Amino acid sequence: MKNAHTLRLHDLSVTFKGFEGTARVVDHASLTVNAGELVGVVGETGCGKSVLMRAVLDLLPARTTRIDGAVEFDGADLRRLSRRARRAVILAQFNMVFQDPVGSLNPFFTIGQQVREVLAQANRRLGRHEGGAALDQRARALLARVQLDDPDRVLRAYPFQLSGGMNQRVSIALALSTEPWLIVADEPTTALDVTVQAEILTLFSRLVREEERSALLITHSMGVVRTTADRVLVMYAGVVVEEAPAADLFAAPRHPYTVGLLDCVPRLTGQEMAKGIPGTLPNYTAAPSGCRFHPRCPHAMPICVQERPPDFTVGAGHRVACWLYDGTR
Amino acid sequence: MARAEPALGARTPSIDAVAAPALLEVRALRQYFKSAGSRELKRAVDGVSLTLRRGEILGVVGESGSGKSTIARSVVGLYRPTSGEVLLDGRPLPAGSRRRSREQKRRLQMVFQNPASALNPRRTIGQALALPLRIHRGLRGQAARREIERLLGLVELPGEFAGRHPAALSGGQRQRVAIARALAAGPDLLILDEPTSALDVSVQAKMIDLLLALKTQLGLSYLFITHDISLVRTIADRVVVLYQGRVREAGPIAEVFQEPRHPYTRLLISAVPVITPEEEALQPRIPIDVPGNGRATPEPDVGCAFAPRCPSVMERCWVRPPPLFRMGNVETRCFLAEETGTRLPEEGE
Repeated sequence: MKNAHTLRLHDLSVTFKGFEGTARVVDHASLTVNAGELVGVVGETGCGKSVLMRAVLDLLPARTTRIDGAVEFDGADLRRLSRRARRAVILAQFNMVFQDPVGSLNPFFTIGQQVREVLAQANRRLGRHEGGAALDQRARALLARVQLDDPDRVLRAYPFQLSGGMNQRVSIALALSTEPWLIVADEPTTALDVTVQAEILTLFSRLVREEERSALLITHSMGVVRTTADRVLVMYAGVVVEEAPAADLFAAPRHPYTVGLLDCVPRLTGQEMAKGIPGTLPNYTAAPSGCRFHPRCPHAMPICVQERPPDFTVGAGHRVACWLYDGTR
Repeated sequence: MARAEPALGARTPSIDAVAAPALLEVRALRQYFKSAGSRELKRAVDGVSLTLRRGEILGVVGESGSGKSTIARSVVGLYRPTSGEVLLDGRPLPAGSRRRSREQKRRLQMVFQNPASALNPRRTIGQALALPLRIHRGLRGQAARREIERLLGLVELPGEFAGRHPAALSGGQRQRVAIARALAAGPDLLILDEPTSALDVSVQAKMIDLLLALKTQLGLSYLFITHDISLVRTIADRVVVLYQGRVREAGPIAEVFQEPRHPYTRLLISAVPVITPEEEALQPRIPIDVPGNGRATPEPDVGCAFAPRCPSVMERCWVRPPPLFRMGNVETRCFLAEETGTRLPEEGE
């Protein structure tokens, strides 16, 4: 494989200092992305999935945020590098795709201007020189890679003149423009219609696989991770509660939260849904003791209140942070 | 009054609701808008007919721009339709809510998608609920306060929420308030426009459970508008599939999902990212990358709007708009049904 890198988050915690106290919104999360892997992070609103991603990309406000743990790229902790050196690695190796394709593009400039600007910026960073014609050529080639049929028309267009799906293809093209090892996509299809979503997901995973990149896909949709990701991490209240190869997670979910969440997803079979998960997401400034899910868990035991569950291995590559799977008990 | 109208269901008795009379009928509804910077009219809704029987949940699905929210707004009178009519219990409703009587408005209430913007941030929940109670039921003072508490109880919120402002509530709680406000008038029919789209699935599941319980408890009927194909399969009795302002397929929910007739319905079902193999077995195998054949969408009067995306497109689709055909209990607006289906007369033809 041409890009044999590894990204490893080790015991990563993110704490926000706010008006109402400190809130640990990511709590000892560990995650590995290997070369060529498409890893999904799934969870509901406020579970910390976007914060986790921002910690990786160094996008959190330094003043009010405390980050503990390590963000290792090829074994080197990015957090120990100088800010400048860290940014250099991130710019060279990572890039991202945002949720709102129209909002993440500048409405005042044509797609062509924006694509060329991103390419020119990368050139400046790398001390490379490239003429206008060569830039145009590369811009067109980028759009062709995301299967935009008429690149010249798209380059002349403003974002509002394109559909949501086309804008998201442009965003993916921009993410590819730096030839990153890792693409971080935060809810890339949430704003799109279901048929367009299917097209974009197909395109995204095909690009990642064919071009031997890696990807971190953040989404609230169980269906999206199942159809797209190789490996899935489920987050609840800042904690990675379960991790498994996608097929195993959906065939045999283990954590009570994962099970409860899957039961709430409406099915094409018309089968009756669960009546929701009792209770609500806890307040982060006064997070529950022990397992953060215990107040809502149908299987809660005394130990769940007292002690945070470690990860238990329940299968190949399948770990679950739940006392139910403690084989010694 | 017996008219040869293509109202869905009038000719398509579903098993569960054969005897149930039509509560709401929409006949040949057209809603055109002037679009900015262009003389052309945007045909948001272009001749939609549908029937909702008493006691049923009629699902309306379609993607953005299909016209589903416009139908909802025309039905409750927020828009005055370009043409067509809306009937309640067989009697036509005046176009536009201003001309409707208080009684007509009372019976038809709407719940919007975004509960954050549907509630006035400066009014307490109690004040939000007091208004419809005063207008529609003449309740004030102590009687109103008691009723507010009962309404909050109906949507499973504590009575003390009456004193709170929307900002102090979660998204799910706000949507419960929006439902309580719709119920305050004492309606027969709720128009639910994407009532759970802004919510997480675990919250959505609770909301759906509540809506189903209220429907039974209060004898309501729902016009349920959503873009979520799996959700409509789970809760609706019948479904209407819209694409670009026209009904493409309609029928009893199980039949439509068992054997979707319209290529657009098939595409929609095949595109859902599902979570079980059982669901995958129900999904038609369609190449998601429909080869754009490069032709522009034909004008509504010239051909089928779905033609440029249709895997089964034929030459006639570009030159004639497909009429509605009936196949069993299902109606489909597609030439594929020309041989096996019965052609239905179009209102206004």
